[in-house]
Amino acid sequence: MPAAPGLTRVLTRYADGRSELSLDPDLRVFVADLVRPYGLPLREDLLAEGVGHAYEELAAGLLAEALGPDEPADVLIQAFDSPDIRPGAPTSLALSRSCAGTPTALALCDQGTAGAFAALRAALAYQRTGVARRAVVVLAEQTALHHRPPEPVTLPDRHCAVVLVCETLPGEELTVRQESGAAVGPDDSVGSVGSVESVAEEVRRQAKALGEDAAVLLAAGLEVPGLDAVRVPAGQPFTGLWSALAERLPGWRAERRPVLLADFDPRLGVLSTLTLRAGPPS
Amino acid sequence: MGILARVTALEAVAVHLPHHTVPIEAVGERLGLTPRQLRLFRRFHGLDQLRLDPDGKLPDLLGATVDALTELRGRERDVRFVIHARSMPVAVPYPLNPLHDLLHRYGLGHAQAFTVTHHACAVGLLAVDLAGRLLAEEPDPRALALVLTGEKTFTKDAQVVPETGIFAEGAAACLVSADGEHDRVLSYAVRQRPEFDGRLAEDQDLLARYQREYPDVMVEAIEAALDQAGLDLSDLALLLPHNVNQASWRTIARRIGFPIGKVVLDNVTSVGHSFAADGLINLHTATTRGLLERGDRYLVAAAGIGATFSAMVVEH
Repeated sequence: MPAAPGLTRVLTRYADGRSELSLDPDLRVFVADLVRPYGLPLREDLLAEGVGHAYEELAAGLLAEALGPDEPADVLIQAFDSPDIRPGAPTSLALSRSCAGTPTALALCDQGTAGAFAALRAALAYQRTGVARRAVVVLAEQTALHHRPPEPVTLPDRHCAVVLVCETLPGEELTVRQESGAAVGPDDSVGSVGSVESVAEEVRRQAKALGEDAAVLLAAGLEVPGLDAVRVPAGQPFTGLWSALAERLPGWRAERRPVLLADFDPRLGVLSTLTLRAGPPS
Repeated sequence: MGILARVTALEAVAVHLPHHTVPIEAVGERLGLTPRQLRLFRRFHGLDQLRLDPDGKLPDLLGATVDALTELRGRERDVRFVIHARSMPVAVPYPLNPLHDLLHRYGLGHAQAFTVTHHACAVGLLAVDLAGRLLAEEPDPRALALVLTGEKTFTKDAQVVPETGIFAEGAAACLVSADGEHDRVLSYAVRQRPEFDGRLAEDQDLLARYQREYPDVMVEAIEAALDQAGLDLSDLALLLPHNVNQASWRTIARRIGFPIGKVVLDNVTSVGHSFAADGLINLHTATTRGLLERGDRYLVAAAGIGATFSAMVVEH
């Protein structure tokens, strides 16, 4: 049985309180410079009180827990949507020192909730092109935005980090698909995944293709009427789906059920899905 | 980074330089640099003019860069990925997303678009390498990725590197294919040193250690890329540097025994250090000046605060 990249472990951790770094004067300087050309006011209350958490602090312990000292990672990809309280810092590099193998670190952002899928897609690309045998993806979100947003946004209820471990093992199957508002079909026709109906239809199609025993996990806000699925509650826009996977994946792997995750970012019009089949128990 | 079954290629490169040319003294005054610091930048580091667009925002910069990439016209539907290679992890107020706004303006709404970051000014090479790896999974050989570079000098960390360089707002775009005929990527090497993440402006000890180790780690990345490509320095027609300053390249060229005349330093004086765009801007200069012939190998080198050192060997 050939070895292929799979998603073998997912860990999640919530945190309360704040990081001491939320009182770092550099945060105020950075955010003030960031919003000045856009005429947006700072959240002086949050800056004065010291609210928010640091992605490095949220994820470092979880990474150490996810990978043992004899499990070196080759690549670490951090993905985020809303900003860290150290918005200018290369935190993925610091995190690379929290796991064995001192992996090459990078970060990915600016794709809304689809960014988590894009990070996994990048991890798969590194694995399939021979760069990485083991890759880790780190997702993080924290509750504070230190300026008034230019349009309505949904921020998380709690600070949270998720670590996903991708390993190359016999029999694993992991596929990530992403389609945007005007997707180009195989026959060069321009289809659309922009409508609610077409998104639901595509998710139903992928669930059906996995078989009757497939476990389906739908991100908050994604409506797929008639589909037997676990629906993730609202409250953690970036990490919620993956925290739910962390809870359920060990059971689903033990039962050898294929898994489908689906998320639709309505703001950017990106439908992302992940299908997963576990290899035989080692 | 390892070998690909197909060879990532740079199909086309375009550059956008803002029309506004500013002497470093004018910028230095705004940043509060002392006359001694400015003398250091001009006389020792060889800086002179900076290209800046004081009235434009990031969408203007990215849009002008895509406008300059005429090779994209008619091939929009082949673009699968649009990747902004960005030094600053956060560049606009959340949840604004100029990258996605750009997609619909240029008929790229079907493409997956995201930003890669955390390699600071070495992130351009990361984006090209990742684009090639993502495209290697695409069954359609016509599939392309569009890599965009270029950033605004909106905050002090994006305006000056203490005792080292001053930022500018040049930008560049690159069409990447998984298996093209044009400039073919032979290797890509990365060295990361997170112990250098910190306040270089305030932490003199950290700055001194960074400056001391900088040439060694840069050379290590260059040698790793050459090893990976099975080449040595004598095989290189050119070295395309970052445009942070001239002094660091004179030191490195001397240390590795590479002729300084083969290091394309023109844009250090006339454009300035444009974040992750430097390598592509210098490639554009090299090709438009006829410095590369078919089959020539060249090395693109980049360094980013935080700290990442990268090198890529390419065959023209």
